[in-house]
Amino acid sequence: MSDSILEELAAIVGKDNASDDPLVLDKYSRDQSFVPQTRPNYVVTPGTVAEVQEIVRLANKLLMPVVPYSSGTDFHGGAVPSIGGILVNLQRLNKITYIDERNWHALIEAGVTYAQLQPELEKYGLRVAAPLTSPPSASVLVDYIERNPVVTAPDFVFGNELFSTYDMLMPTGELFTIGHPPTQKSRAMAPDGPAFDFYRLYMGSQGTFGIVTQMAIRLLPLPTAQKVIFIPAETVSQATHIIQRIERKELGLECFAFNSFDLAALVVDIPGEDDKLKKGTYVGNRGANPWTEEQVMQFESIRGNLPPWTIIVCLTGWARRADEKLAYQELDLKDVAVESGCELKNTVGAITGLSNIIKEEVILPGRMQKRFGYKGSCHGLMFHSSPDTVGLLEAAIYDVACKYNYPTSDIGGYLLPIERARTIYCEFDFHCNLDDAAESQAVKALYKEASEVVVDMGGFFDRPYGPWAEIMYSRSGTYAEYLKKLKNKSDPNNIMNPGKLCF
Amino acid sequence: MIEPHVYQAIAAVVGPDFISDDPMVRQTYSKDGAFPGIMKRYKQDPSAIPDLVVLPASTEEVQGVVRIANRYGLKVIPISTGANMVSLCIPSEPGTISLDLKRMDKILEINEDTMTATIQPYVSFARIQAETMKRGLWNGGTPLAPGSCGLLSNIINSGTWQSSLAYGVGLRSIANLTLVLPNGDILKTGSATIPACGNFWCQGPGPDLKGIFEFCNHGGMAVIVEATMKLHPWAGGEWPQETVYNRPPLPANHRIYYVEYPDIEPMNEAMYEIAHSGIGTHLNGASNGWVTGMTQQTEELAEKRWHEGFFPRHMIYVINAGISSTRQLDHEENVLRDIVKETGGKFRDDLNEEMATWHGDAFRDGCGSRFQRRGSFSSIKLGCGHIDNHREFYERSQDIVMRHSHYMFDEETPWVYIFERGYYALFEDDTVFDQSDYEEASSARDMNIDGFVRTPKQDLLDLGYYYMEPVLTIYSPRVGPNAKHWVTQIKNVFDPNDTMNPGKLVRLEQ
Repeated sequence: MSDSILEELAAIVGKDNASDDPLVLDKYSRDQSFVPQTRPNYVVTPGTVAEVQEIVRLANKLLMPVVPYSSGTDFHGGAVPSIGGILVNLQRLNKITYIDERNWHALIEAGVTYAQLQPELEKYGLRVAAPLTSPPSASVLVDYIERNPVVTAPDFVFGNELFSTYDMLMPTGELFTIGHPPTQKSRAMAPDGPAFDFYRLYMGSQGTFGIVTQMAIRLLPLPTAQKVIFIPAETVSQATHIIQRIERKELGLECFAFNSFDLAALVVDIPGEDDKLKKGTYVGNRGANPWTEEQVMQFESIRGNLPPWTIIVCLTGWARRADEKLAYQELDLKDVAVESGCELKNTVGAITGLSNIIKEEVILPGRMQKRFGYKGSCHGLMFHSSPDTVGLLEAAIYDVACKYNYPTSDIGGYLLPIERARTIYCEFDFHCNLDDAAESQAVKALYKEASEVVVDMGGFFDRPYGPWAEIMYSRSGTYAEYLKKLKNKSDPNNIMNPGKLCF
Repeated sequence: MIEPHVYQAIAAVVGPDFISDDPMVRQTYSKDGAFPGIMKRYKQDPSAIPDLVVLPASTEEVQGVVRIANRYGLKVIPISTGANMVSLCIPSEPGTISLDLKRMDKILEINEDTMTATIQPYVSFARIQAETMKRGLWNGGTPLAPGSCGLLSNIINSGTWQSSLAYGVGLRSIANLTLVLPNGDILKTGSATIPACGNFWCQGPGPDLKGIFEFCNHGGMAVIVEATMKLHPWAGGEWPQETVYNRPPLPANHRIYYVEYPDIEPMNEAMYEIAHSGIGTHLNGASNGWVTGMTQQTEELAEKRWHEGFFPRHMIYVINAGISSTRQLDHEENVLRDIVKETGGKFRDDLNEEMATWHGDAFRDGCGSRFQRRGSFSSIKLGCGHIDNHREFYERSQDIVMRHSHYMFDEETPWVYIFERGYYALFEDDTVFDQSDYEEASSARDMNIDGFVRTPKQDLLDLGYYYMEPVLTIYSPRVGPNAKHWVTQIKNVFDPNDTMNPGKLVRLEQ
């Protein structure tokens, strides 16, 4: 029996770019998260914005869900269909329209990845700020629109809301430019407008309000001088306190902290996987290949030599008097160390070359993928916390882990100060082998309970993926009610990624 | 005319001392220094006079008043400090309540851990700065507006600061809002949506509703009753002392530099290089008209200075802050001196004495409002773009000025704000006028409309701020065919009866 919908889709994107092959649909039915597997009915890979517009209009006519899908590196279920529909793979929308060297801007489409963009930017002495947790194959645009905090997030200007304007394809199929009206000459404008700060409304919306097709992003200069400093800390509270002291002096560009698990996982040697790590394909939609026993032993050995927490500060200079800047900042950092009673080091755990690893990671991250291989899948609690609360939240998460007999030494920890440590972005990871049903069920239950405990003790999931949506919106009073009303005005047929958030 | 039972219902909410339909009281809420209000006054348009003035003291009282207004088809215009200069709080139709929020004047919390301050609408810049600077923090800037200006209303309307180089435009400084919707619902944004989380984080959960109430919303959908503002590290100590308010010393650990240029291009290059070098907290192109108007003690002296060309036509000023140490100040000064040398600038340390009042304005307003000594001021044109658009903006702006009669600063150079480490800039050209002189006010108004409504039809870089409805229509071809439709839809969600400040954002068909 011929499928008239598939034929209509093929007429828009071409036969080779529309599929209802069960094997293809299976690939898009899941990621490594605990979000239930659901196949889309069709997968299409449009090559132009006009084709995406046509698909959305067709979907509206058919009342069929549209699931936007960019790079396939979403590990939290955001692009896993809830009730089938048309999955729109945006990987062919991968044009870097321009790089504006003078004004530190680039106009990119939704499918442009860090691995694609960063080498192009380096020709101009520029860089794109990336989240440490994203692989090189991740979509830059999606990370920015989904508020995945980038490694430069400690800086107020160079770390947050790193875009100027973007184009939103509304559920009606109409394109709407968010931000200050662009001119023919430039899109290096303010993100605000028209009328409201519209850009905020669509951030964190998981494609439920439409599809962002292209974005003018802000770029940073490549460092011309860089020094990485490591500061050991005994507890997460001590680490947070030291980070706060450093950030209130506005020292350094990048600053973050790993617990011994995450830092050891970052540097563990995974023979033969370099290519996958660089391409960003180390983690698939069933997670990663679990490490061998030798690798686990190597990991344990590295971890055993590390302090419980390590703060990493990158002193960064560019353009003028870069070395002079590093010199004064290092002296100022020494003052902070004396006041805080901590030590500045060139490495930790006697790891050789750690400084160079960090220098590479802050420009084009990739190695944090490795932690997925500890057991095959990694389930992060990603939330914002006030600095004073981080210690309490870690303790509460550890309590829940103990309840489920999950070893606290196997909880990964990553801290990223935002806006000079106004808030701390935290990620605490649980690991399991998805092929071990008992283990994954236990971790799934632990993950859910720990999530609830985090929220009830002051942690804030600003990107409510998977189970966090219910946890957050059931506690948010009128907020969810008005989100639903707005969604209804914007997308009366609820075609855009239904089942996500509170829609 | 408000029906007696409505009056009584509202009086029961706020108390009889905080409601008034006295014509003398009501008239005071029909005036400000901007064109829509001024022109209504000349036309003796009664719609500019509210029917009631109500002063609630709490969120609960605001809820009570807006519920009554919403039920009986009245309109509500929220007013914070009354320092409004663009007629956004002037009524436009009968049956309007001016909701004066001056009794909601508390700083509810200053949280040093999260660097935030939670305030009510009547808290001024001067108050928040005085309180936060004691704690080694500050709100990150000041607009060129009186120190009594409301922090919340200025920022929510995209207040721009001289320190926006380092701390962004005002809009970037809002962590959370608490809003009363016309039906009385309370809406909180950001982490404040979850009671256990508190006020510390600004986005989400999921799509962020806060943005809808910012920028050019103009109180058009809700009353903001609380806001949590972001603070930043402050290196300047407790400053300035009231005894030297008129000529305050620079705060501790700060240095200011004035640099003159022969023309716009080298000045642009210097601003570009400084912004992209990462130094400084303040970087602006100082309009010769503005500095003349603001630094002089009397109008006569300002006119004298203007005619003798005392202040350079093309001048920038830079402020560096030693957030971490004096080593930072020394380094940043070295970088600045390199740039000035390369771009052919000339340090004008000799202006320090003449500009002394200005030093205070860079952090807390002291003399900015002097610019209005003629009675009123208005922007002729605002433009947004990157630094290189400066010349184009200046020429367009002068083109408008030369086609109109004007007052005093006829060859004024634009004010240039460098925003967010140079990612973009704002250009501003203004005029001053005597609103009691109809001819002069009309002339200035024509110039204003020329700059904001006529020219955006061209491919320019304009910020349509005052005339939202026509501007939404004008911008539509550039932003999408139905921008105004979508804005109207959103207004319909939050304020279906068009209760809140009707006509300032978009007007709903009833």
